[in-house]
Amino acid sequence: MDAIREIATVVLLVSGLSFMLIGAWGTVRLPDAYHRLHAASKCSTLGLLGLLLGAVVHIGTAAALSKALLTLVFTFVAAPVGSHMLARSAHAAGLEQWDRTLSDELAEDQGDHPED
Amino acid sequence: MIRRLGFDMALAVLYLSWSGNHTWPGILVGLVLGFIVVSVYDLGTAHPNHGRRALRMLRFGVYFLTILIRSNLQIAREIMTPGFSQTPRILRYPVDDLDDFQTTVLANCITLTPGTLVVDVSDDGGWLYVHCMYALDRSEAIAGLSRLDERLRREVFSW
Amino acid sequence: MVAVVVEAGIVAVVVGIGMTLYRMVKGPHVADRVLAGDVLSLQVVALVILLAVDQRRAVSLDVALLVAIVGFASTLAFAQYIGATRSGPQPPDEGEGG
Repeated sequence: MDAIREIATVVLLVSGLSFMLIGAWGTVRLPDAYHRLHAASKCSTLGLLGLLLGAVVHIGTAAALSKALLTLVFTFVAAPVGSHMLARSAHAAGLEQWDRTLSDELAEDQGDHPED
Repeated sequence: MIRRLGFDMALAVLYLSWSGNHTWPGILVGLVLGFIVVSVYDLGTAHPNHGRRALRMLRFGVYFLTILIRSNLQIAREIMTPGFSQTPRILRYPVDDLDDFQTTVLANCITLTPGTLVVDVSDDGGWLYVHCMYALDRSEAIAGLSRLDERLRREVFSW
Repeated sequence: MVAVVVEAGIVAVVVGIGMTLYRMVKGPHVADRVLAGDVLSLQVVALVILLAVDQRRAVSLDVALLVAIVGFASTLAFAQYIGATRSGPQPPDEGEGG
């Protein structure tokens, strides 16, 4: 039983950590801020999910579960909302897009109806 | 639905704090008791079935987890292989008939699904602007978004 | 086994923090820097969770939640700052030059 629990902890922690690392790498490597936001919002969310579940399995008390659930719910709501806010204000600030971007319908619409 | 689930959780928390039974079975007993209370209340007021809706919500949760993992694997592959294969676009997607809360839920789900990120909402709340990483074909990207949208409407919003 | 993973995890998180700091220093636009800060705060959350795993105590998870909340709030504040400074009615470019 303890061996299973340890293996589960290790698997969860390692997957969470690797997604966190990939997310950080994505912020370095991807070409423009929108792509970096993709990496930041998705990888951090799943990475924290893995890490928190690993911590819960390892600690194994109800207190750990409730705190981890609270943190998880907060992260799943906050990470996408934060990236929406950032993408929105970056677009409003006229952020340069990657030169291979095909079309930008948001800029088209704002051109049609001048911003109030 | 969310209100009812929250009601269930609140009853469980009440049970926990009053019984002082802070163990795993204690939490489970609290949740089940709360569930029964809410179900009986629903029967008494002739609302649609609480249990079936909770089940559908659970199924959406599982589906959501799988697409979250898939989107992570996709972006991990993009980051770790040399060169870029993205064909990004910013698309508009209609959400006229959803209220503010539902739009928020849909936007969060879109952000966490493969290759899509919500950039902006139009001022009247009728359009979402979505940054798609793989949108060589515009209609295909829109179809991918509306698959998630349909599923969300059917399994979470429909009560 | 878990102890080894925690040790390696600390190294991984520190490498991740280094990457986000690189983006924060280099970022061509303010949005890049803010997003690097967002990822940085989540890496710190990961570090705190590793601490909780190492100590085997749930108390440290409170700290994780707090760091997550502070990181989210600062991201929102910076996003508002970017939106407030650059958008809105654009000042006429010609008027300033004269």
